[in-house]
Amino acid sequence: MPSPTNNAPVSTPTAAPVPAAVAPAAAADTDIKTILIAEDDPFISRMYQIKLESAGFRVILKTNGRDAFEGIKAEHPNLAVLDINMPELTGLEVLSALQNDGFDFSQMPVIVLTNSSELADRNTAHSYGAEYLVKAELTPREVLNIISEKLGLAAA
Amino acid sequence: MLSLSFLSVLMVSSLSVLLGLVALLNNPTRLTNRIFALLCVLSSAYGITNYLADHDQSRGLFWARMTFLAAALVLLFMLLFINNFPRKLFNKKWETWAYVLSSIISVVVFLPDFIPQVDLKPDRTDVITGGLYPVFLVYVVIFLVSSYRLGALSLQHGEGIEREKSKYVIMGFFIAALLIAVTNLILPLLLGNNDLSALGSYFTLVFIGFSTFAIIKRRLFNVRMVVARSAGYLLVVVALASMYGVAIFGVSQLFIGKDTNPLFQDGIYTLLSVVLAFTFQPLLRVFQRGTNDIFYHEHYDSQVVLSNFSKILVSERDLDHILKRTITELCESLHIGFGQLVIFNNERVYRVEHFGQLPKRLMVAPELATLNSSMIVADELTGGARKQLMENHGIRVSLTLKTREEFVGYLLLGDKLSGDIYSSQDIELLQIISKQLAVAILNAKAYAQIEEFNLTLQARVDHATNRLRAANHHLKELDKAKDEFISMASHQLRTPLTTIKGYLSMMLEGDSGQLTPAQKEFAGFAYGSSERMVNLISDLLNVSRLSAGRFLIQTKPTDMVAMIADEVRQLATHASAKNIGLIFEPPKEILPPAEIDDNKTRQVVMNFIDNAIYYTQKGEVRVVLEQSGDKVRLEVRDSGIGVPEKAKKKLFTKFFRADNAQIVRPDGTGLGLYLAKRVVEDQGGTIIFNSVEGKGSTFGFELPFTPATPIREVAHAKSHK
Repeated sequence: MPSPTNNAPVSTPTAAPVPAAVAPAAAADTDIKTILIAEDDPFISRMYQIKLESAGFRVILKTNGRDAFEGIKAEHPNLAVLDINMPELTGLEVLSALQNDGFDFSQMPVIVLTNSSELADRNTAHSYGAEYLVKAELTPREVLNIISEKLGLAAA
Repeated sequence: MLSLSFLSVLMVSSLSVLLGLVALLNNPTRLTNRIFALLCVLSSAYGITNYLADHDQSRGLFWARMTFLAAALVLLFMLLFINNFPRKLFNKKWETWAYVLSSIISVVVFLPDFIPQVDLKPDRTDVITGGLYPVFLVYVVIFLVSSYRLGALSLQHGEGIEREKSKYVIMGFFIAALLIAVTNLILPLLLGNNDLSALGSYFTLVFIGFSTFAIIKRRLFNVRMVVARSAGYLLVVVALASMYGVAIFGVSQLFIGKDTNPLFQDGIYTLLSVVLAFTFQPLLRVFQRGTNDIFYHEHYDSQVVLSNFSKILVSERDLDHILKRTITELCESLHIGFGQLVIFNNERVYRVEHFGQLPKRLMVAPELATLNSSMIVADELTGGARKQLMENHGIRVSLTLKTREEFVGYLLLGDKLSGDIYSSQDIELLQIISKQLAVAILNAKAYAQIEEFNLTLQARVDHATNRLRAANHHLKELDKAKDEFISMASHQLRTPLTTIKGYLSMMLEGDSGQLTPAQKEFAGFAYGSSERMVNLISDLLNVSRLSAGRFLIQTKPTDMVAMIADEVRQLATHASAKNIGLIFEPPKEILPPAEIDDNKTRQVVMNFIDNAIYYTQKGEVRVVLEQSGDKVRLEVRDSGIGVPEKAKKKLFTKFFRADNAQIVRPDGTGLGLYLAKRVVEDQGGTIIFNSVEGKGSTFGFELPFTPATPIREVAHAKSHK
């Protein structure tokens, strides 16, 4: 994975201030859905974070498979977006670990969002009931739409 | 009368006659044998007349003349023998002169002026020479010189065994003739007496001795056969004589009394003689077979052996079989203990075949090379390296096998089982067989070489096939490595592309604040290009999957109208940037979701539209979707550059790009249409393509239409945006 450098046209993204254009989430917070994103490329995770937060989601970012696994167990997100190629554990290994842990997938939709388009990976993802999407083929908005669908919300 | 001298002369003469008989019986039809027989009889006659001239004094003059006649004729036949043995040296005309001279001298010896009278002494008769006597001397000199000259020629031209034979006969004759000439011609002339003339009878012994030596040691004539035949004749004569005697005795006792009619008697005897005449031949055959068995336990019929040989040579084509069977047949028929066939090819030993007990040492090629003459019989060699060589290796006969053009090899034969020397029958047979064998072996060798060549050819083809197989395997490995590289590189390219495309889309959506129209336009171009690059990478990945055999169609219910509308919407920016109209005509009726591979078909549609926009300079691109029965049909029609006629055939092959397309778009991969064809055909559909260069093209597909019932959420979700 390419790491951001000083020459990069975009400065290293941080989790800090949400851009002004994005409206703050609604006040009544019990309805706020939490999305866990496991993605080791900071540019990509930042991109989705901005898009999702602007649509009123709470976003938890994890940069490796181990953290993602712990995060899902500890924070009970409403939906998880997992990359495949990550340090520690791959997205698919996270799914396997969760299953071994007795995790109930029916309570939390999973989207495997990757740039690998190996048929085997796709089939593995499907076997856990997860959606399988190719990052490069989708815009952040399309990802947002799919997430909204999964959570039974109207498209943003 | 029965003096010692008479007995000895009789013995010498009988020996001489016997020698002639041997020659005659050996081969009664051969001219040289007859001449030799006559020569023997005449020498015997000379011995006898010479004796009688001394001892039958009442007819002394007559015997003396007869002695000269016999001597003259001996000289004649000696000359004829030398001229004909082993083969004719001079023509008939030459012989005619000899006959004429002899005829003249035969008359001359009886003329009164030759020997007017004889001088009778108590113990001998002296010849009183007359005026014509020197004529005889001239005659003797002419014949002796001629014989000597001929003999020398014969020895010079003769070869091997024949030369040996004539050498001994001629040597014997000359020694005898010289001795006789000295005692009976020269000494009487010089000393005027005939004291030693009686010795002349004995000198024929020299001739007999040498000839006999040639017969036994040099196979001049086949003594064994002669003995066998003589015994056969003798037995049959004795048997018939006894039978005849018994028959006559019996008949006379039974039928003939004192008063029997003489006519009846004659009739009986005539009948008996007829019976005798008819029983002679069958009886002779019976006795001959008997004697053959006794004298020839190794007897064989040359004709039978030759016919067996021919059968083998006709029936066999395989070289090894021919060698094995012929050497076996030969050694078994001729009762030979050891036989060897050495066949050469290009001056190297090619095949060797043995029969019987192998000798301690076998000959090697350089040794064999010294035997290179048509036939060598060890017993006929007086000494030298060859004889030594053959003796050392237990070889009695060596034959060189060769055809007129080509040297084939050697036939080497060891001792006969009986220990006997090879008979002339053996030698003749071997000579005939060796010629036939040489031809047959040469043919079989050619055949075997063709067979061997075929085998080598097969081996070479196999070798080449294996190499090709290995090369093919290596190429497959390389191809696999290439595919893996493409796959890896493509995945790596996708990550930065995701961010480029993602942030651009967000800018266009206003996530970074309001854009000026120019900013929006530029960001739109950049977004469109990133989108195309994503598709390009998908193409590359799909091609590498195709080669790796991992290209699989995965169908799911898809709303084709929504899918195509989506692609048209995405490419609209590009079209409007080129000022080209992009129109989508959906079917008039509502199209239910179709069971197709969403991702791959989407890419095909995108590819067709993208190409159409790219290769069209002005006009429009029309996307038409229709459903008719169980088929759904998509056409993308443009008014672009079109496809040149010669490019049409290869348009849908991997990496192919038409010349005019390369000019318009140098960065194309040549993969889009190749993949489109695969995607469409793998789903059971057909590609639609027609084009006129410079006018425009229509690309599209026709897919089987299967309405899908359950619609999965994702597809549904997509249809909503």
